Amino acid sequence: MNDAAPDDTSLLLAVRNRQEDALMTLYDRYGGAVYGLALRVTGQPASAEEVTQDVFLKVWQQPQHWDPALGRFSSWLLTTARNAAIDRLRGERRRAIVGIDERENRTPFVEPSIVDSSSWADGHEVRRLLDLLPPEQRQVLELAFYAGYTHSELAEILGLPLGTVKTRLRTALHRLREMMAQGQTQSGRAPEGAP
Amino acid sequence: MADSNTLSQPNTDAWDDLAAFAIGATDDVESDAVHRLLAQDAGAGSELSAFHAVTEALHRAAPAQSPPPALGDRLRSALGPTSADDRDTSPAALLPPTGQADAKADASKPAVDAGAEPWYRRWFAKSARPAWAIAGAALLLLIGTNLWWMARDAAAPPAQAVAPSDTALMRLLAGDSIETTFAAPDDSAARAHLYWTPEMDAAILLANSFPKLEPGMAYQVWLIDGETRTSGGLFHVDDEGFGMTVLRGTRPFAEYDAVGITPEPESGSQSPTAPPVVRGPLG
Repeated sequence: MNDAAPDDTSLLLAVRNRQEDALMTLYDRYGGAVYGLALRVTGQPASAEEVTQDVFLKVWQQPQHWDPALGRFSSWLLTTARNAAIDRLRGERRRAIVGIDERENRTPFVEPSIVDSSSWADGHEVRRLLDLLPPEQRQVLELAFYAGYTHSELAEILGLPLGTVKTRLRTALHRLREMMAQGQTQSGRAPEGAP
Repeated sequence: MADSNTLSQPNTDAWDDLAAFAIGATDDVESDAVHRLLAQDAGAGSELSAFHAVTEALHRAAPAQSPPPALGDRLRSALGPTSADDRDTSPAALLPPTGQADAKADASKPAVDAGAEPWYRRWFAKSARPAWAIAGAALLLLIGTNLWWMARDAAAPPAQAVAPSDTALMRLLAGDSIETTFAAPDDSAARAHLYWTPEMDAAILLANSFPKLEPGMAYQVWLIDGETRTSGGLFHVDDEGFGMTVLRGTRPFAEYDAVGITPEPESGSQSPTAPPVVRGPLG
């Protein structure tokens, strides 16, 4: 018998058969990433815990919602986590409109102090690339992605014309995409998450 | 808060919004325009796909953090009632009822009835789970397929029934398998994923987004070799179109050219009687 750890697909099959240990293995594997992302979005450890628990309970209740044809399980899981965290933010309306400096002081991009397995190593590279963006572009990108703000909401809270916000966000995303592609070319490997 | 002028803006604006749409930053009106663009312009879909890697990278840019230790305990304790709740609404047929050749021999096996809790779930239930089953669950019950083999021939001792498929299934589950995806010929959402190895005559098949069938019908898997169609097994799908089965061929899977799945009477057919829901080559 193969000694390798079961892959995600095998674990999801086991989850469908109500194998609690399979879900806990997925939690051990991805709980840190989900919690870290939820913490980055909510900025509140208690909220991040609840989001993390909700996300894994969703996996337990509805494992069929992940379609292997549409991407890796980890990608689906993190997308689910981000959506849940942003929904929580919007639903509770706890977040005050804050400046980007204050947000970054609270949940900064820092090297992970506790968990960062090799499978998540590309996070470091993405953080480095984000640092290369002009501050005004990074600001709208982070507020859009991690706080769930839309174009018009960003324009309102930042006091900027809608067109300016849209241009900054579009430019930031295109620039990040270009830098990732350049990194891929230089390293000769696909970036994490590439289809 | 959406810009109402966006409604009348041309597709060029929607194209410009694709990147923001990829991360969910577009307002409703903008999102509607992007949806229209995607429906009209295949290139827009490709452009949108190009940002999936960016989105993925941004997810991973959030540093992983160890959750509080108590969270894992709370999660595990929350699974019990969730499991029970889920049983009440879950599809009745997760595992295959039988292959064609086994339909009659399996008369003693509890029927897959949408209104009853499946037999294998009762078997898995904590209250009824024997100790030896708990000990073996970590491996043998990864997908529960061994139960199918045990139930396949009730007259045979369980050890004899399980042994022939055990090694093969464990290899498939351990990640040694090839995954082949079969799409629908009519561009519907139906897909099937086959986990197989060339040298083995067993494989695991997952079906997603399959149309729900009328009572008395099931999906039948056909292993195709030239003009020959061999039944690989039957399975049902749940309300969301998900189903899975263990396929059993008569030869190693490398010797088959393709796989097709058709709706058939749940007793099985000798050969396909309907167009395939999905079909595709192996390998």
